[in-house]
Amino acid sequence: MKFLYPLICILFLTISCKEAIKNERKFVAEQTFEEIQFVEPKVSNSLVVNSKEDLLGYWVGDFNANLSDEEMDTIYGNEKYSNLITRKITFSIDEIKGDSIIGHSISAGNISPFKGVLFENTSGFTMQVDEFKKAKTDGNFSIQIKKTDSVMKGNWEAYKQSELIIYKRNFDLKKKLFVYDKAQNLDMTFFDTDKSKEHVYATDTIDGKIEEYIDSEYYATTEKLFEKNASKEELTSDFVSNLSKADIFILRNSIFARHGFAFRDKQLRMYFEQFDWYMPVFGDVKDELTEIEKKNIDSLLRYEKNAEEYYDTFGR
Amino acid sequence: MWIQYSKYLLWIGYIYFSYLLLLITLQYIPYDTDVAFLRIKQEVIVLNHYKIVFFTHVYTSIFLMIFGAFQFSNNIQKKHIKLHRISGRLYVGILLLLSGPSGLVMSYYANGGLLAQVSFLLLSTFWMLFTFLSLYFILKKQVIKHQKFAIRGFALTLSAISLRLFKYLLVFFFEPLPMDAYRIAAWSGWTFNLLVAEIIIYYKFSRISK
Repeated sequence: MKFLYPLICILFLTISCKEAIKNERKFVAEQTFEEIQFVEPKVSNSLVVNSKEDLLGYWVGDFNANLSDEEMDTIYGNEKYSNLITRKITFSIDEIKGDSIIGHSISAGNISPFKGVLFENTSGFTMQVDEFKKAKTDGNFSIQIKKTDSVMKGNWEAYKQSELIIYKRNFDLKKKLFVYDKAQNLDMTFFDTDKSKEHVYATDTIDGKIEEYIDSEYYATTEKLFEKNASKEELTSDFVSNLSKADIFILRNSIFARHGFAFRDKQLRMYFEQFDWYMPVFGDVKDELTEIEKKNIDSLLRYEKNAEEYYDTFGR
Repeated sequence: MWIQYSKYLLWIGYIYFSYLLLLITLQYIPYDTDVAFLRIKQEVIVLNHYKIVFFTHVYTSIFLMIFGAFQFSNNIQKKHIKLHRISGRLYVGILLLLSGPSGLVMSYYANGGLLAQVSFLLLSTFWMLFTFLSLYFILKKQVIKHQKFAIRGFALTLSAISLRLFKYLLVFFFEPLPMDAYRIAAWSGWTFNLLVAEIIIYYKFSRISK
């Protein structure tokens, strides 16, 4: 009996359940977007540009930093900025009237409308467009595209160059038609690089000394994530109830990703941009969801909230 | 010296965890079928009999922590035997008529599949059985047997705490998948308590017999 009491004391001192019961609800739903009005593009299905109309649609590709070597060196040296160097951009040409052109770009979850002028000559087209969202990331694009070609080349320069780390970018974009395909699968593990815990591990070295090393453990998904596709089949509560928080979070957002939702959350964006099928084109996809997806989102949200509130607390 | 302090510590622990259980109960006041634990029980909460047993269990079980606490005070047992009897009747009455049967029905619908269901079914069956035997033996005036079964029964009452505490500790140290944690806690929560109860019974009554 005697040894039990100190045990209980130690237990109390080390891990008193501070947030024993969480009554506040935390929402982690990634469905916020900026209210920006843009015309849905009248997409022309031709992927090769022969006439002005063929420009209409989504142009996607990498949006790369275009700075001097010295400037790049300082960015590479800073871990915080290294993920800014390359990102995906969707350049959507929504409407062409005479020589004026209207559209929007989506990059890093930012939807930014633009307008400008289109010049046509015998060999191809050139465009000069300006963003007018009045955000500090606004800039102007200058773009060239050759006739009978399918690559759009261009540069982007911010207006307020001193306020941005990467104020010049270039890109080679290809036209891509957005097609919703429920069969698209996830095959990569998600790591939230902002949420990690450091663990100290010990190993034996060759000379018999024990060496300690520190390794980070991330908020990450498990293998279970790959077992089911939340757009294809209704998930059972047996399955969902034994998923980790990260599994539920990614499974739910994969539904939005398949519909072309442009994530603003950095971690989600970086994760889904790894997939070739992912194309960020819409700021809101609520109306596109299928019945199965709506059901799955509902049940995933339930378990996500449950996991938020009860997984690591004294409760249930 | 340890015995002196540990007695207070046990009481502080008991009150603290009872308070946490009270907080869990309060989540269901006012009546709501889409909060807390029920959020992931939507498939069964539509069943009327589940609603009845769930809310019976939630609203009555917390009183067992109050009446149960009186039963094991030496002071009350010796000097206020009347209080011991009144509180004992309330405790046994609530347990055998409300909390116990409702717990048994809920076990059938437990999360975590067959493994967890069996665990909770056994838990609620033993819980009622031991409590009933403790009542039975005191009516037969067999005090030692009454005490032994009261200890066992109360150990299972305390599984309300240990089940949740073990889940907390499992997650704290090992971060298992949620349902795995729940299954492990479902079994360890009451078997551990019963083991401790047997140890207490062994030491308490072997000392008397000497």
